[in-house]
Amino acid sequence: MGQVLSVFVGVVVAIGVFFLVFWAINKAIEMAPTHWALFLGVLGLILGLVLGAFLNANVFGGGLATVLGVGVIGAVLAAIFGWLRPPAINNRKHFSEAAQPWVFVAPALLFVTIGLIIPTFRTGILSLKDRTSENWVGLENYGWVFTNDDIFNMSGWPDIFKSRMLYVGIVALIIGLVVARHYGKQIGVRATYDGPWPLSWTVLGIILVAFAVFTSMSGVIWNNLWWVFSVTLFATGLGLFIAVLTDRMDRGETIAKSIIFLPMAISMVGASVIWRFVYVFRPEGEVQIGLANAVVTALGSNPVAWLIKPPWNTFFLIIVLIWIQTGFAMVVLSAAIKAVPSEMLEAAEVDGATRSDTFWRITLPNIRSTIAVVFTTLVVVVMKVYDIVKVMTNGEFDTNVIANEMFDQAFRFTQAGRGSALAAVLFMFVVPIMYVNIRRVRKEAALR
Amino acid sequence: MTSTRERTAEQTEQAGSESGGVYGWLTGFGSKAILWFLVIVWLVPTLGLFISSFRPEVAIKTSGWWTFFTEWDFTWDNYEFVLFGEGSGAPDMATALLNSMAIVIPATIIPIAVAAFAAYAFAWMRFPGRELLFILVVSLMAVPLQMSLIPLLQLYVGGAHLTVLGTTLTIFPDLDLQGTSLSVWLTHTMFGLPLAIFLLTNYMSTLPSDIIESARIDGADHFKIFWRLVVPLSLPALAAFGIFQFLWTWNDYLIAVTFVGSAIDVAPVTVILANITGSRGQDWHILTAAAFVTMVLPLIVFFALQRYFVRGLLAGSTKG
Repeated sequence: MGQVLSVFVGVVVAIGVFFLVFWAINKAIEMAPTHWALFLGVLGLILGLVLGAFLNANVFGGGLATVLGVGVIGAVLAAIFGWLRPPAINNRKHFSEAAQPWVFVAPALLFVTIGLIIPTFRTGILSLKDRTSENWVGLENYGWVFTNDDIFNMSGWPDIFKSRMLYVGIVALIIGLVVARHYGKQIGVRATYDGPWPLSWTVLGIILVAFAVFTSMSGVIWNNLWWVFSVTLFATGLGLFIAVLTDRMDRGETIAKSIIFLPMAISMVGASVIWRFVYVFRPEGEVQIGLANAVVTALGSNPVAWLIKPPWNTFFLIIVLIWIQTGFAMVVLSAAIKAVPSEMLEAAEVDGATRSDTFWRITLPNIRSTIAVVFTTLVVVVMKVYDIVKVMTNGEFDTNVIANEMFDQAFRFTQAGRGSALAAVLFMFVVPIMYVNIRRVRKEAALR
Repeated sequence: MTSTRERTAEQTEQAGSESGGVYGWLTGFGSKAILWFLVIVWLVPTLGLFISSFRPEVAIKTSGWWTFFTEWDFTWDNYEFVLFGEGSGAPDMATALLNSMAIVIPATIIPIAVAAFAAYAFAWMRFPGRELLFILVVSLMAVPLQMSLIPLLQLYVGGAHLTVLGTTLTIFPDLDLQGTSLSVWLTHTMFGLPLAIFLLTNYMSTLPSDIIESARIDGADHFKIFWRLVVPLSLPALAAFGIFQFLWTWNDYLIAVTFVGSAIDVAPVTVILANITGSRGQDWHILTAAAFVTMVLPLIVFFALQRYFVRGLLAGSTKG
């Protein structure tokens, strides 16, 4: 307990000092127009302290005396300079106005620059160097990423055409198209997917075709894409479904939503332990203590080694993240559905629209942008999935993903170059999403 | 407003069932059945873990947890062992809980303090490049943490040096931070800032502009307006981010394992739990209890402050 208390006191003191320094600088700038010499003195002191620290580290190595000494000299020199040659009062006022915002954003920018901006560029540079980060190797690390069979492997492609899912999926897509055109004709357009039947057939078709591809291909990158595809689609779909179900329910709605949302509060490591316990495998004939195999054996089948047998073991890991993220999708979409203007719904209902009509014609078009937000958010989250794979299989049995491979390369095998290249690949997958997000923020900022 | 909406809900319930169709059925009895089925599916895995953590080792390994209801067998032993167990193999979750605290407290409070200043500037001050800078910060939310891990570890272990004309200058001293809580919460602080700034800026810019402008006319400086006016009014947003960041840092595994993964005495709960899974993956009496120990605090926070958490989530959670 003492340890936590001391941390707490330390944090309070640190923040107190931070506020004090911040207040002092701010005050100095605020009164710069009237007390120019004093302001320059404070500025000189700060610059002197920084310079002193720098010299101390590189030239003198003499401890605190150097730092304070240079700081004081700087303060005195700057004050004298400001006293001798003060600029015109208007210029001083203008300076004071212009400098203040930068003081407010400076601490945050400093942290973000050290923690995110410089490292991002440095990782890019390191990915072009060898494992010791000393020699340039060009694109060798990227070449390694895309030629290593464990990471990127195209050899399974003939299996796609042996997969029954592919053909069933294509049939479903065709049915979806036919139904979409049928519904489209009713409302006077070529085809519409805004309806239960065209949408469900098409989505089913897409899922089956995609799964035919993902189960045939192997390697870390394909696994990652399978994760992104499945979690994004299923979590958004299920979340929307539950949000619609609970929309006009009163009793029990909050409890139901809380329970679906609950996994969001649990760490992915904790969630992995929960699901490892669900997936426990005991050989045939023994008592099954895992829920999944208990159900399977109760139905008369043999117990399944869920986490060991590729390619479907990856999907059983994916289920864990769907379990976690559905709550997120549900909460965001539920808020969007509740925000649909009720006047619009009422007007439609007065005109005799069924609830099905109001959902497909009014609610869905209104929440489309929110669905897009959920989608992009999930893509970013899922792309980086690490904890679940690490804890449940440690990337074995063909379940590895980019983030886990990156960690192993960088920190276990001390391959800084390869690790950086993998991180950069991860980054490149996210860049389009960043672009979409930025555009959204710009639009919202313009509206304000 | 609400009453109107309820009334129409009833009317349309009738309309829905009359017109039939998938959606009509979905909103009737079928919808409730499906919803509660999903709720049970969502709850059962956690419930199984929770119940198992109170069952004796032999019972866990020889029968499913669902037999607990028919063959009552309750014990605190698992918790006693993971929290205060002596001897080899005891995970010492009690220490890990304190370690997590030592990371989470600074990692939650410091970003709020730093981000609040920046958010005030973005929302209420005019300066060249404001929008561009804001967009830069926001776009950093989506940058994968993996992009920063290797350079940050190098920085913490060796500092930063610049070689100019044959002389090496130290820009950032070697503080030898690997294996300390400081390295973890410092990293969380830096990574949490983009979301904090985004969230707080959005909230602060919705504050009524007349009160801030009139305070300005009365001669209050920016610091005073910030401290006396904007911070108190922004408490809901500060709380929303605080809870989000608390849960995020408490539940984080990647950053913790990167910087203190090999320093067991300062490792947080997630690292210890993952280690047990690796070393004693079949000892379910330990695993279940240890897992639940890691979840208790976030679950309490979650249920007590769910409203704020949802607000933080809605505002944007593309956090790297």
